[in-house]
Amino acid sequence: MVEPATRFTTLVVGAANRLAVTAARAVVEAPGAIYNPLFVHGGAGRGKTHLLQAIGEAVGEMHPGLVVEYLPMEEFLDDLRAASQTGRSDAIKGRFQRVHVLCLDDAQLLAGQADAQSELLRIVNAMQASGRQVVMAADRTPQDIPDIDARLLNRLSGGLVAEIGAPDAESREEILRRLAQARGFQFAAGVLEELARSALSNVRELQGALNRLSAQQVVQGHPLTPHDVWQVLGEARIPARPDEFTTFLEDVTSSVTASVEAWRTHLAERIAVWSGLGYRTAILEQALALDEPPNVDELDTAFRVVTERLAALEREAIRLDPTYAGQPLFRDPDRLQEAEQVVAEAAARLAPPAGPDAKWRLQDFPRTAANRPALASAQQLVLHPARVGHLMLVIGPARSGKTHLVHGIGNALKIAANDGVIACITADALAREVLAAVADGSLERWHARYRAVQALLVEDVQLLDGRERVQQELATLADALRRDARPVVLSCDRDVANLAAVTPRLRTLLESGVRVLTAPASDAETAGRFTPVPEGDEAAAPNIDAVSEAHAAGWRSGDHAAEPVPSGDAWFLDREKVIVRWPDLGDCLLEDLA
Amino acid sequence: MPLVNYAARELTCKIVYYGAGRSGKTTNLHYIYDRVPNERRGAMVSLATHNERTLFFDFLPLDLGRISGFNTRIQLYTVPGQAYYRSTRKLVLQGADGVVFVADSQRMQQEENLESLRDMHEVLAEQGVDARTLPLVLQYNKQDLPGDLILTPGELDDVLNFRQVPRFAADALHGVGVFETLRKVSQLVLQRLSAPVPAGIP
Repeated sequence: MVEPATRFTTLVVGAANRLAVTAARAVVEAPGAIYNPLFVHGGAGRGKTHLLQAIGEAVGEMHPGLVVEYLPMEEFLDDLRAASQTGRSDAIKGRFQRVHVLCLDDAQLLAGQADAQSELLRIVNAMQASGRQVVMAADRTPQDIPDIDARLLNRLSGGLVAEIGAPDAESREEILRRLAQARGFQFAAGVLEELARSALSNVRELQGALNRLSAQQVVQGHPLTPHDVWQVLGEARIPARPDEFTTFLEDVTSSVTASVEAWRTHLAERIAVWSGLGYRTAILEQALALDEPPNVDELDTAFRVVTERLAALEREAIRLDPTYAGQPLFRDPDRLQEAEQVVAEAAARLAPPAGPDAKWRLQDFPRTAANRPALASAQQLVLHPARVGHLMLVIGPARSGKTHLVHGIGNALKIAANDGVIACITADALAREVLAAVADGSLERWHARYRAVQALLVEDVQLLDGRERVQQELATLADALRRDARPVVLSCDRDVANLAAVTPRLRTLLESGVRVLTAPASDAETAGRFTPVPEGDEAAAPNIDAVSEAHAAGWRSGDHAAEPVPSGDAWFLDREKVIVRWPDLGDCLLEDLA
Repeated sequence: MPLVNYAARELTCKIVYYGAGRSGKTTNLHYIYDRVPNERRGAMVSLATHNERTLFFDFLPLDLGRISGFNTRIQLYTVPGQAYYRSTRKLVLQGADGVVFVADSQRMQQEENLESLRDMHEVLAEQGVDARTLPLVLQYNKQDLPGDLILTPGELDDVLNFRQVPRFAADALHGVGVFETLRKVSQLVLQRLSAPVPAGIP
């Protein structure tokens, strides 16, 4: 495949064109984002057309979906004239609507073309307004184009105006070397260097001189020497060798270009780098337009600090919610404060849900006769939380200990899960959260927040009666948790059958779980039927439960004599307070619903 | 530092040719004047009197045109070399962005060269300028004279170039070394523009 000649890789970059090339690369990285319009100017043969076409090539490769059009101004004027004569002015207007990057060459031809200027102004305005890129080239600055419309001048000067100067000696030598290589010319050492020392100031002149040298070499049949160069070209056929002042002026030009505008070139390079990384560089671009040079390194460092903070915020946001990945907010240093706020809000929204109240411990739950099945079920759930399909529905009237049991289960699960996240919330609070999430479109994040818990405990689900949307979200969440073998415990003050407006899905869910009943304890029962576990010994709860299970197994087998006598818990020693004919809980109350 | 007016896009440098009387300072300027195109040079002026004080120096403004968007001007001055014009020398040297010290290569002029060089350092010190930071180029003029009358550039280095600054052997009358000297001092002056700007960052 033949590589097109008009690529960035075939462009010789030196002090004279570095700013223009750097800006062009930035345009390729992000068309329409910066330097819009980009206006390059310089004398004939300095590489303006090459640069415009290189932009077109590179945009086409990097952004295949974008439409690029390179158009010499002469052609634009002809088209405009033809459209006007045939009364089809709308055609020219519509032509550029689908173009994303418009490269207009020889803009100096706009001089005195009032109608064309007016049309171009409209096109540039439309393209800028829709974020599309305009690149123009001319042999002079916009200000130096005669009779240019003030509004168009304002537009063209509003992006970046970059000069392409005459190539310096080093650039000339490199240009000659590449031209010779491209054409397969072979020259003796020193010939190209000698030619580069000439005052030939553009590529076309250099190419012409090179062609003459090559032809002469072929004719004479032996390689030319550096000494032959000027004899062959002849003083009349080449520009005079630079006089002392010209050489001096060239040196000063190089020094001024390298020194005075070095900061601009350096800054443009940094902008290109940051743009390439996807960051919006408006802050740096504003500095680029300053009349006086800022400290570019300090600006760049400050920009880097902001981008690092943005990257950290993005990582945190993605951790909280993967949907934040790739959001433009985290690529715009202008919006750092907004990004900080978004992450803070996300963190607040996605903070672990409230857990059970530590004051309600399972081991303190009144062990009355009526509550014992519920307690035993709770113990089973705590001992086997990973059993797939665990859902417990605690039913009981007010003051029957539902809250104690639910929070107690939560606290025991928290210990069993090594301080894992246990969500414990009233149905009313749950409803408020769901409705707020629906309102601000963060329902997905709400689900993600609850999907991360080890267990979900919801009190007073009767309060969801008639709240269809909340019921739906709770059912979805509960199903998801159960699939992940995480227990769900709900409490209700009435039987499911007595709930008036429950969606079929939630009803099915509630009916599918283990139902346990709690009843208010009498004074006599609460006075002497349990012995609280000492404060600070919460970890003992599973042990007590395990012993309780073994104890129950002994009773079930009827082998009372074999019953171990646990030490340290008076409750187990108080045999007369234990129901001897206790049903087998494993068979009757715990159902594996998976 | 060279005067850079970014708002008006103007760049102006002041370069002073310093040296003992009759060392060839004005000859340098005349040679440059003759080789600069008319449109690039202003009138070469010599001021004789001003407010009853004797001012006597040459001034050659060069307008180098628009370079990188800046209207670039280089102003060349000479100082009167004679010892009794010290106040004028001081005045001319004020605000200089670079100095060309023109030394007479004749053996018998070395005392005057040294005296003038010492004088230059004193004037700079009086103006609070650190001579080590000021772009300075030495020009060993009159190297075209017979060898037995002059010192070689190496010998002149031993006498004058203790800071090892750039130096050029020259024959200003015939232009040898004149533009080389000017190019080097201009380059040194302009290089200072790229020094980081410590303040005024938006």
